[in-house]
Amino acid sequence: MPFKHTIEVANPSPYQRSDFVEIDDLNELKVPPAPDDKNLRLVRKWPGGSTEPVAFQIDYPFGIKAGYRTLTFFSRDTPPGDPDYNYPTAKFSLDEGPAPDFRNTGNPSVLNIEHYSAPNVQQPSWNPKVDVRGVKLFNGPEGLQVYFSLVPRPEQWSPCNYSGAATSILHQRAARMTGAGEVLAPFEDSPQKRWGQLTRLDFYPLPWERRWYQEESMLGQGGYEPRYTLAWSSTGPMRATVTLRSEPIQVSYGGGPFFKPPEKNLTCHLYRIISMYPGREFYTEQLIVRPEVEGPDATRRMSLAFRAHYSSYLGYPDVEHQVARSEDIPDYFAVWKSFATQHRGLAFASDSHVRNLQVTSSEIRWRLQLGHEYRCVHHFPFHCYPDGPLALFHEVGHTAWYERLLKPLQALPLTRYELP
Amino acid sequence: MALYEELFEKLFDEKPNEKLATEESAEAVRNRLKRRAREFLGNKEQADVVRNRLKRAAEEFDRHHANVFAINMCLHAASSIILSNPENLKGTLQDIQKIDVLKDKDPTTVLTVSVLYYLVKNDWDSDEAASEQSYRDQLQTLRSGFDAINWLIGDQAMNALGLIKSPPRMPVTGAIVQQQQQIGQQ
Repeated sequence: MPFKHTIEVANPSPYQRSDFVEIDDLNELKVPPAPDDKNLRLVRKWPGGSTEPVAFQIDYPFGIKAGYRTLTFFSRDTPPGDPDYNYPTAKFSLDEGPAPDFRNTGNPSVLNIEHYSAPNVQQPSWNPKVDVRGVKLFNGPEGLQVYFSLVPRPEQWSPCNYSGAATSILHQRAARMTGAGEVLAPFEDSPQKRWGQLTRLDFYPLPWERRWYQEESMLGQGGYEPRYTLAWSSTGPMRATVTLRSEPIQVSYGGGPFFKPPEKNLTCHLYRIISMYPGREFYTEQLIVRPEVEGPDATRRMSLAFRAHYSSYLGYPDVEHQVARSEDIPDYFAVWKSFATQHRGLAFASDSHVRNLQVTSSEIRWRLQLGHEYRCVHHFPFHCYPDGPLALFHEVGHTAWYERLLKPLQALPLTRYELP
Repeated sequence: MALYEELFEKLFDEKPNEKLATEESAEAVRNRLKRRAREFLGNKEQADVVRNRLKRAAEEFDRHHANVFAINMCLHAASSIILSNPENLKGTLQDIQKIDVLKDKDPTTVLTVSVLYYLVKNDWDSDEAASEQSYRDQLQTLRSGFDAINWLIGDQAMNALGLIKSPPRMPVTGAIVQQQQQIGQQ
């Protein structure tokens, strides 16, 4: 039976916004699984009765079998609303029907993913049967090109463990303006450069368990170095997105004497959903640890609480750096490397507090507070002549944190923080 | 010796605090640093890189509305040289801050334009490619571009550093030639 679902979007800011809206799981909005996602259409309903077909993208971030469908679309000129998402200011309808072809409407031509099965061997489309060892995401001439290594040592002579790190971030605007666009090493190449590598996860025991928290190294121990596999890769009109899946992690919980069985061992995977949007100078990342579940619960959105430890290594000469971080809002930071009117920022924002931030001339380390589903933005602002005085906090605080994480445009009812 | 040259050469002072201890004369220190600076830029590979970057920036100047790109490329080229040889970077930056006229300027910008001026003056480059007229014209384009914005630091700081604006290029036209001849006759 055909369905028609109204999606109401709320803008929590006191100004009009045009931005992406993500619905984590279409099932939460009671959208029935369609036989074919290509047979869906999304229409903007403007006040006054006019309608406009809108491009959208459906992703399966945990793989098609897991059943989750994430819907992403762009809400243009969304009128200002209530800061607490109390009422919507834009309406869309999602229904079954032939969707207009948005493939040639601009954005898809700038979004791209290359899948590398060996150094210099790449395929534009993802073949799940091919062992992908690295992915390069592009989001257009005003954005970034980011290469993520899924394996620890892409080459036999690789000097360090690159597993899960962004090993190259090309900033297109900086490249055009200065001739040097590599964010991680703009002056001279550094083979060790890498950004946003997860080095460790911590899992906490249940409150009554008398044991220390479990530390799980993501870089390996005793000579064994784990890697990631590609669980999803998709380029559509809205974003280029990949999901990196870690090797199995064993986590045990002692439920006794309150629950049965008294000991529960879970085999889990860390999922890192990495997305790039057209022309944005950042990439977003979602971190979720999901247990392997079989049977009727297989599609339930279950996740474990953990702490994530990040590390980055920069190939910079010893230039002065400024750290923008406020203990009042410890959810973001920016490290600025400045020299002669050129300011390169390395910024991170999350919907969790950032703790234990350590910044040296070549390394940045931090960790996230205990949480379930982290959403993060890795942002690389750049300023040069003739820009005015540098606002250390503005981009990471406003663009990355406020607009993407604290108060994004949201579909109602809010499902983001719903308990499982 | 102009201050901009002195600052550039100071960068190559690997032991800035040992000068007094070894009782090296000021003249000897200058010669040593000049030699080291020349050796650094005299490396053919390095010189080619610098020349190519300046050429590319000059090409940007010639493109419509691309002055901002060219200025930033030049600044990056000069910064790269400074940062690839940072033996006495901190000391040189501190020295800049001690100079009255320069102390409220960003010392990294002062140092970078000093190095850039040194580079576009082209006295350091003995390679044949550097004496080609087309390259010299390109360097002149860069100089004029930076002259137009007072080398980002203003007239006073330029004077203190010894940065001199290049004379405007005369267009080759009959009118100008005639005018010059008339001036000559007077």
